[in-house]
Amino acid sequence: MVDKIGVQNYTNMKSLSALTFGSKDAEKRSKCENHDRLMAEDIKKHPISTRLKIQSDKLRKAFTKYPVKGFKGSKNANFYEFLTMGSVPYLTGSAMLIAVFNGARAFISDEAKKQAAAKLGNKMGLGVLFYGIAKVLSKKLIEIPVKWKHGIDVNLPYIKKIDELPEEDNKNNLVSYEYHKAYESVDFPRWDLFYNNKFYGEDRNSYFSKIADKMNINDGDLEHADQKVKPKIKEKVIQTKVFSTLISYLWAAVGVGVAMQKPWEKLSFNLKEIGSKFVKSCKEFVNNPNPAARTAGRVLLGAAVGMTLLGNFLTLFDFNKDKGSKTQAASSLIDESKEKVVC
Amino acid sequence: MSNVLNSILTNNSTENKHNSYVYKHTFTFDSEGRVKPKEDKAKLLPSRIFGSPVEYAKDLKKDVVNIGRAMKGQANDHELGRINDVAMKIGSLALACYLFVKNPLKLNKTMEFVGLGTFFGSMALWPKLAIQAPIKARTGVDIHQKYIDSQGRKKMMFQDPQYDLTDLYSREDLDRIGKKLKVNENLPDRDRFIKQRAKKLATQGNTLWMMSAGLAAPVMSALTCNVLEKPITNVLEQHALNSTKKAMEALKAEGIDSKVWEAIQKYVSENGQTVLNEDSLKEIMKKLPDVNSSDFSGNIRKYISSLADNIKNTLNKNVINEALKGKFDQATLEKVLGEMSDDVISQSSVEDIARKLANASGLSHGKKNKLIGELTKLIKDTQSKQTVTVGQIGEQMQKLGNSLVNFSSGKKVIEKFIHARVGEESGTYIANQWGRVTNTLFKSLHLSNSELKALQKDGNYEIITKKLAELPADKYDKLMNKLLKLIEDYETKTGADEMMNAVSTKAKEVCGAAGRKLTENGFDDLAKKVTSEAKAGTIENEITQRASSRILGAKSSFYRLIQWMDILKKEQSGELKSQVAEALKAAGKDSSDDAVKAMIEKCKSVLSGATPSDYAEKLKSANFRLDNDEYKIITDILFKNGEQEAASGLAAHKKEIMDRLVNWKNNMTPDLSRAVSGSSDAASNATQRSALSGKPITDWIKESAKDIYTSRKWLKIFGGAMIVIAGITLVTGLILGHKSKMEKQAEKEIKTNG
Repeated sequence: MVDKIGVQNYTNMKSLSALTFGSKDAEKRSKCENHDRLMAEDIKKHPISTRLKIQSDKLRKAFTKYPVKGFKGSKNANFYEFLTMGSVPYLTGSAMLIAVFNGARAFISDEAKKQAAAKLGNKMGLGVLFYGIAKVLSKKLIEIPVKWKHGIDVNLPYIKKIDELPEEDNKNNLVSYEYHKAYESVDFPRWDLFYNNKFYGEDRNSYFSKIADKMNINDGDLEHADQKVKPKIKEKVIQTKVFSTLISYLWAAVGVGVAMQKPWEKLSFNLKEIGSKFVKSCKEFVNNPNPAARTAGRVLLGAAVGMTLLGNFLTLFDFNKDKGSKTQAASSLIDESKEKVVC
Repeated sequence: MSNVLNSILTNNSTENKHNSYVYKHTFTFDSEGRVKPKEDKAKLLPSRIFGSPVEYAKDLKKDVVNIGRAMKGQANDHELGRINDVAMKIGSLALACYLFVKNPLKLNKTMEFVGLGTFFGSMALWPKLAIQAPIKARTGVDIHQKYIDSQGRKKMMFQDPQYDLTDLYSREDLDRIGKKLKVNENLPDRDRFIKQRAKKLATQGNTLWMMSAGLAAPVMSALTCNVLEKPITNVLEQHALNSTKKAMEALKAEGIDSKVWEAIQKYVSENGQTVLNEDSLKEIMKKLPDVNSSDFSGNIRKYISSLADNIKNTLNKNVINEALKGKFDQATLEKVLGEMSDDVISQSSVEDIARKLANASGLSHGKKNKLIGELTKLIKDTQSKQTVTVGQIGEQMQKLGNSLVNFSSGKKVIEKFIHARVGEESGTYIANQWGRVTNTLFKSLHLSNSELKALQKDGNYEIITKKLAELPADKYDKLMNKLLKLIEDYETKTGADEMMNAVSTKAKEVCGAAGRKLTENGFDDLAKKVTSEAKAGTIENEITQRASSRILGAKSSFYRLIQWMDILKKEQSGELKSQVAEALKAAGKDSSDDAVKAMIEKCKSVLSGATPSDYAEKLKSANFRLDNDEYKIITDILFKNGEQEAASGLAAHKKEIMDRLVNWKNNMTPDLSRAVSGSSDAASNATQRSALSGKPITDWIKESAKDIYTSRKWLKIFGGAMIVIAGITLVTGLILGHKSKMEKQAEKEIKTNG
């Protein structure tokens, strides 16, 4: 069985190369690679298509492969699959919410009531849509500035190769691939994927050195750059995550608020008209003729904008510089005289 | 390794605090001073379907503290995961608050929070009720079993299938689960099989949760809202009735007259030099206390315009100088004006001034007359071009504001009192009660969907007639009693007479006080529009009339329904037939069976379909085409002879019902008859007629059927969907956790080997 798994691993490493979106050469992989591969190059070359492909792959599997594994109670089912399946209730729930608000419209015979139901149904349906869009896009308001200022891409993906255990009905196809993010865990970031990564440079610590440059904490000690910068990266990743989470729900609420305005009572599928309705509804959201709604709209928008600004302020500037990072396995713990083992 | 750990464990510097915390909770020293792992403190938490609110509050407090720490860059994966849940709730709460403020109706406002609560409730309850509880009942495995780790963090035991925590099960747990799962007691490695089955069940249950939650939670939430809407409506209704009653009792017309209305004062002081035009007039109207009456607002606008005209038409030296500069001898002008004081000039007419100037010019009589005309024209032209500033009318506006402030707030209290009871908006007591009457009738008749569909199309009441006729006597009486009780409640809760007494008393007080205040400040004309001896056209009259008309309108509609049902019953019993035959005979008309039948149909159709305008045409419109005799017979049968009816069979059968109906008819019929016959001007106006005649039964059936059909259809679709989703989930839950081939093989081996 061990041999068989070994053969499978070898065979599937080829298919791993096939999943690199343009990166043909396995040699390009860093020496430290433990079969998982950081997708930094793919993201740089094809940022949109790479992310789209990852998302579509995850979505497809969330509706097909993972539920099958889950319902079988597979011993190879894991937390990643459970989390990926989390997109299923989001999507089916959104569709169901739209249906709940619009489902009975066809049976209303009174024209005035039908129109009123259509107005409400349109707004509610659109509210569900705007909630999702605002929630996803608003995270970028924190993530992009952090990437620009500190060079940390909290969403940087990597392909993870999983060697599965043989099962009663599956003894051959024992390798699967998952798309993770290098910083998805703040307790265990995948530092190993950054060491000796040729994408960032020839040196073992090139990535960390670059981040140190960006953070203005590079003292030229390339050999120890990782130890100095890792705690800082961790700190910024935590801040980015918490603020992008907080603002995403506030902007999602703003999104629903915008969808609840009058211009959307009549839907249009003309792009120009949609644009103009969007602008009008945004204006109405903050300048509603009803004074109470106007104030509430401004307060909600103010909370979202305020939290976004606070998030950017705290993530972009380093207020722990002088105190030293509380999150680090502090440098004093490392015996400088000894050889360090990483990766 | 040991050195590093030792340095961490003994290092108390602030920089290392966070990380040493983790290590200190993981490692300790043995008796010889060597580092060793600490004893595992992880344990299972009591398995409960519903968590304790105290624990929930503690966890929430911890989460809020964690948000603060995470903002500084200190958090772990577990904390970040929990922060996501808290953020979702904060965002949703913010959204519910916005929608609460934006929604105009109280019920809808409340439902925003109810919707939020039921949605989160459904998300939390669905997996517990449809998956966790049934699986636990069947297998003993709590797939959402929680445990507390050595660091004190609460987590789900089966969250990650690759992180096996089944060792936390006690001996008792394993025995209990093994028994329920019927794992062979003779299996050599029984515990392993039990743990495998538990893990498998959890993986399957969690998958079922993910696949079903999106479909179930929104529908479950919507259905729960549907169920909760009725009790919430009742609570809100009671609250509105009580709070407006209290406010009404506390309302004092006098007492706050000294209050200064600051909005207009501020506007005038900031815009004293602004020219009075349409825009500034609009602003002034906005700044004055809102009296919410378009007629009265119109009168205020007229008053301000006349005030401005007066200012413009009042002469002063500046205007005369400006008008005649370079056009009249300056020395003469100065001399004439110098001899007149400002008061004399302001009280003089333009013609007077022109005459004085012409006299002083020393011209001949004929030329003088011509000059007077020219001077008058010049001064008037200049006068008309003069502008009035806001500051010039500021004092008057301030007085007006002060006069109206108490009136405005008092009027609002009375209007809210009326609105909570008989307002036309949905959610008011009258609207809710109308809904209750409708639901009671439709529910009692057990109308099918196809019948409702037919009813909503044309309001054809034959279906209702048939159903009513089919109702056994006891059920018919029960229905009647229920309807009468609702009408009685309506009269008690709105307290028709009591309400009108309160409204007219308070309206008189508030309007009277405002009238006096307006008169004191010199606004006599406006005072007369608020209250007067004649009352007609005043705000006081408007308030009381609106209230009484709404009370009467609803009452008439309720009793029209009762009367219609009564007529149908009388037709069924044959009583109506003899009544109509007698009436036809008395009128010397054909009283054959066919003629009687035709007349009965006409009676029924008048009751079910006649609109106020049909009554206005004495039921001779295209819908009815009654001749004078038929008209008299029908109105006599329908609107007269209440006392005779009381003695009739049906009244004896159900005296209470008839007593109430007869009482209404005796009180209302004279008015309605006058309205129908047009014999009284007061009673024959459209509003009065409408209030007296009530809503036509066909319109009511059609509208009600439409609403009930739609909501029933919605309930059928989504209630059906919920049943299907819940059914599939429950059935799937029942077949999960099957034995593995390995377990079966082991069992087989035991059987074979004995």
